Parts: sequence; structure tokens; C-alpha cells
Amino acid sequence: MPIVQVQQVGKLYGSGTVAVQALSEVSIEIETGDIVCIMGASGSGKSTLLNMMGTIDTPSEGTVWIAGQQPAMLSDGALSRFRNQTIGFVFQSFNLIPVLTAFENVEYPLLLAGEPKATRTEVVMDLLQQVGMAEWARSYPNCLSGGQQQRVAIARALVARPQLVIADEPTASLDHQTGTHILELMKQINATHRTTFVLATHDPLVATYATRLIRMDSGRIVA
Amino acid sequence: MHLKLAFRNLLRNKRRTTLTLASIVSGVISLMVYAGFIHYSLWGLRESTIHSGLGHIQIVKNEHYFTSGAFDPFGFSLDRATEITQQIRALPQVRYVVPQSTFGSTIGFKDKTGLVMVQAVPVNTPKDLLRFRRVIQGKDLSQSNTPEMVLGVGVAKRLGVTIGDQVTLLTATKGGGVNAMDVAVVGISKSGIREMDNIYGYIDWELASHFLFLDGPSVLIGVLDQTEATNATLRQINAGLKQKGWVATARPWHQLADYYTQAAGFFYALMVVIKAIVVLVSVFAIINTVTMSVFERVREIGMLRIMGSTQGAIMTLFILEGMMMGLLGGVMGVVGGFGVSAILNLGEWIYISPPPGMSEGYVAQFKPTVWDAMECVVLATGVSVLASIYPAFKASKISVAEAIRFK
Repeated sequence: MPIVQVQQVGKLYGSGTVAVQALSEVSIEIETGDIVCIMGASGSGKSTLLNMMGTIDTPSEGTVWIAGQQPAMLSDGALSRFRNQTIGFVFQSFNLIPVLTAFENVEYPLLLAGEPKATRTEVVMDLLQQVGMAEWARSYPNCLSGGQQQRVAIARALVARPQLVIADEPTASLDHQTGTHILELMKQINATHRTTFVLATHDPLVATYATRLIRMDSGRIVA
Repeated sequence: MHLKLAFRNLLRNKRRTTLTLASIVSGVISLMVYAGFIHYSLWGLRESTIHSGLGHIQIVKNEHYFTSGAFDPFGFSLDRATEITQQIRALPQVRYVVPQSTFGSTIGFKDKTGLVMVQAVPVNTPKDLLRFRRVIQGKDLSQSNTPEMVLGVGVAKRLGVTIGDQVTLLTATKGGGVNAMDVAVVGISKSGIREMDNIYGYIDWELASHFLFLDGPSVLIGVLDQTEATNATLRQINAGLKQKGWVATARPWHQLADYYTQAAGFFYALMVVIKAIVVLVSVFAIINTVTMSVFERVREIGMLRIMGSTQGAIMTLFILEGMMMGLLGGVMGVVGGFGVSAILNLGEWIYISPPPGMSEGYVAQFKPTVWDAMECVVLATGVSVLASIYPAFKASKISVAEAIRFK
């Protein structure tokens, strides 16, 4: 069963003369364990599509199914739990919580999931080890480089063992070498845990790591 | 985690947090100092009222005494005054009991005649009940073979009486006769209450008893070790009177001290106004701070939601920040309030002019209580929580997709 099913989805922002059709009749299925790369120019709708898959936006028309659930039908509490347990997010600008240390940033989703402290510590340190950030566990984000912050963000995205990781321009703020390391890391996690990755990018390097490539233009899938 | 997040967020923009805290702290200090001033002033007024011959508890024949007893010392003479006195004195918290009668009289000196209210208590009455009767010229009443009188400064001035002068008292006696008596003015007193000084004179109770042919005192005045024990003692006395079947009733000082009650009402009403002003200022400061904090952290709110925080959790986070600010500001304000009060008390800089109806001012002292401190902390925290609710609610309703796009 596909982990992501997008059926005839459209998204309209605004109304009247200022209305913008961000997505039109988009349908797509993504299988578990895939690394899917969505490419397209700025404004092509790839981030909007990613937001639909990540349950952080709802379609104006059509339906989205993630891991057998239709997020639009869930209550706030159920949707929050669903996000916490099913989906991990990585962003171009890392979005770490500045007042929390690297350890605490990664620990946060587990806290929300109600994991006991001992388990949290073990899992978080193991992940920070995997992304090469164990040494900086007690550091605050403003003391870390962009690459280091993105590693922490990846650890945070993976800490609750999500089935799906959504990554929006994960390498855009990084230099080539760091970007390559991050992509290698994702590939390794995909291979180890069969975690599905959906990445939006216009970086050709990212595309080389994908098992499937989707191209978008003007809110439609073109290839 | 929410507590940790909220606390660290407070430290994030130190300048803004400091300014908000400063407004809460200054408000709480004002409240503490003002409450301390009111407590001291009312405490002083209470004690001076009680020791102005009122006592903590008055035992009278019946309730009508308080409306017409001053002009009818015979109709309200207490039966069994001696037994009642003994019974009340037996209570451990009662310091002493003194008989008192008050009557109206004409007073004549040379070619001048006036009216005077004569208050009669035994000459050996402990001085702490007569604190109001501060003898400023001459001496107080004493055991003497010749009749003595102390006059209020206003009465003495109007009659032109000086120490050693003989004045004549003329009054109705029991049965409707008239009696006159020459008394020597041995002292001139000042009470601090102008109206009293203008109308009161004081003689020994035994002298009054003989002068008016009284059967007994109109009032028994009970003075306690602690003012706070008034209500409990009142219950004991009334129960005792009822048990014995004696025709008498006891009333507490606060039901007899109209001026005190009015002053307390005025002060506390003023306190409510000041509290309202402080609350209003704090509410705006906190709403502004939390709103700014929400605006600066839109992306972060989005990220917390993406990680699985519910709308309720986001709201809780910002309310906690407001609550911490209020709690911290409240505690700091309380400490500051006690500190400022202590400094002002040491300095004795503030002189309060005579309040309406009083003839003497006093140096202000500030005595905030632990109860004031608790009230201030609860008020600061509560107001901060209330002021945080709206911005916190707005924060919880931010669209996750928009929050993530927010620059």
C-alpha cells in the first residue's frame, strides 16, 4: 500500500482577482521506502505539494491520504499525534528551536510522544551519534554551523521513527560538501529503516540520490 | 519541557522582559507600600479609637443606650454592675473593666456659661484607656477631697478657664431634681479629635455617682490584651450574661466606632482604585510583551506544531510565559515593597497632615503584611495569566503552513 496517495488535489490561495492556483489536479502515489525528489522552478507548487503530504496544509479540492489516514478529517489533537508519530520534517532553514540545545531539540518530539526519560536519552544520543553531532549535544543552535544545524534537524525529523520524512530544500543553505554529507546520511537512513523520503529541491545533486523524480510546473506534475 | 521553554523564552529578549518586569515590579511595590501605609494608619486609628475611652467591648443595659443613653444616665444604669464586672474580669484575655457614665451638663465660669459632655470614669482607670485624654496643662484627675475636673482644650479656651479655676456644673439628677457642684479645673486635655476637645470634660466616676445620685454606671468598658480577641470575647461575655439572666448586652468596638469604619471604608475603596490602575498598566505591558513574543516566533510556533504540539500546548506555552513574568514580577515587587517600606520607616520622612476631624498629624509608617505580599503575588500572576490568554490564543490559531513560510 502506498504511504502517500494524492488524488486530484488542487490548492487555491486567496480569492477573486488575487487568487493564485498553487496546485491543479495533482495525483501521485509514493511507495514506502522510496526517495522521491520533486523538482521544479520557484512557484511551481512543489513546496505546496510537500505541505499537503506533510499535513501542514489542506487541499482546496481532492484528497490526500498519508499512511492510511486522511489528515483533513482529523481533529487538532489527532492530527498533532499523527504528525508526531508518522512524519518527520526537514527544512532549508533548519527551524531548530533556538532556546533548546541540540539534544533538547531532538528530544522534543519524544517528549510529546510521552516516552520515558531513559528511552529518550538513549534514542536521542544514538541519533546524534549517527548524524555525527553527539559531541555538540549540549550546544545551542546559534553555536552550530549550518551543516551541523541541518544534521540536528535530520536527527529531530527521525527521532520518532517516522514512516515518512518531508524535506523542503534540505541542502539549499549548505555548501556542496555539507550537502553531500546530508544526502548520504538520508540515503543511509532510508536503507537502514526503509524510511520514505520526499524531497523538494531545484538542486540537481539531490536528484542523483532519488529513486523517483517528479517534475512540476505551474502547479501541475509534468513528468 | 513547556516550563523550561517558557523560562528560556523569557530570557531571550532580556530588554523587553526587563521592561515588562519593571512595570509589574513598580506596580506591586506601589501596592505594597500603599497597603502598608493603610494598615499602619488604620491600626493607629483603631488603637487610638479603642483607647479613646471606647474600649474593646462595652456592656450596656440594652441597645437603646447607644442612641439615647448619653442624656439619660439614670434610665440606663446597669443592674448588677459589680457581678458583671467580676465575671468579665475572670476571663483571661480581659485586662481590666471600668465603669463609665456620660451626662450632659451646663458649665459656668464667671459670666460665661456653656454646655459640656461629662465623661466619668474612676480616677484609677489605667492610663492606656485614656490615651486620648492627653493632659497638656496641669495634671490628670487624682484621689482628692476636693472635686476635680479635666477640661477639653476647646471647652477651656471658650470659657477662658485656666488651671486652678473653679467652674460650676449644673445638671438634672435622678428623679428630675437639679444639682450643682463647684469643681476645680486641674488639667486641660487634648484628644487629637477637635470635636471632642470642644465639648468634653472629665471627672471621677465616684464623684459623678454622688453628684447625679446614680445607681450604677451606664457602661462597663472592657479592655483586652489583644484587639484581635474582641469577637471571641464578645461571644463569651454575651453567653455568660444570657446564662446568668442578667439584663445587659455587650457590643464590640467596631460597631461603635463610626469614624473608624468610615475611614477604613474610604481607605479600602481607594486601595481598589489604585489596584485597578496598577492592573490596567500591567495588563497592557504584558499583552504587548506576549504579542511581540508571538509575532517574533511565528516560525517557531509552526515548527512546534509540526513536531506534534497541539494548539492547546502552544497556548499553554505563552500563558506560562506570562504567568512566569507575573510570578517573578510579583515576588520581586513584594521584596521591593518590604524593602522600600523598611527604608521609609527608618527615614521617617513622610509627615501626614491631620486627617479630617483630627487636630494632629503623624509620621507615616508602612507596615505591609504577609497577607498583602501573598495577595500581590497572586494578583500579579493572575493578571499576567489573564493578559496572556488573548495573544496565546492567537498564537495557537496560527496556520502551520503560513507559520513555516513566515520570514
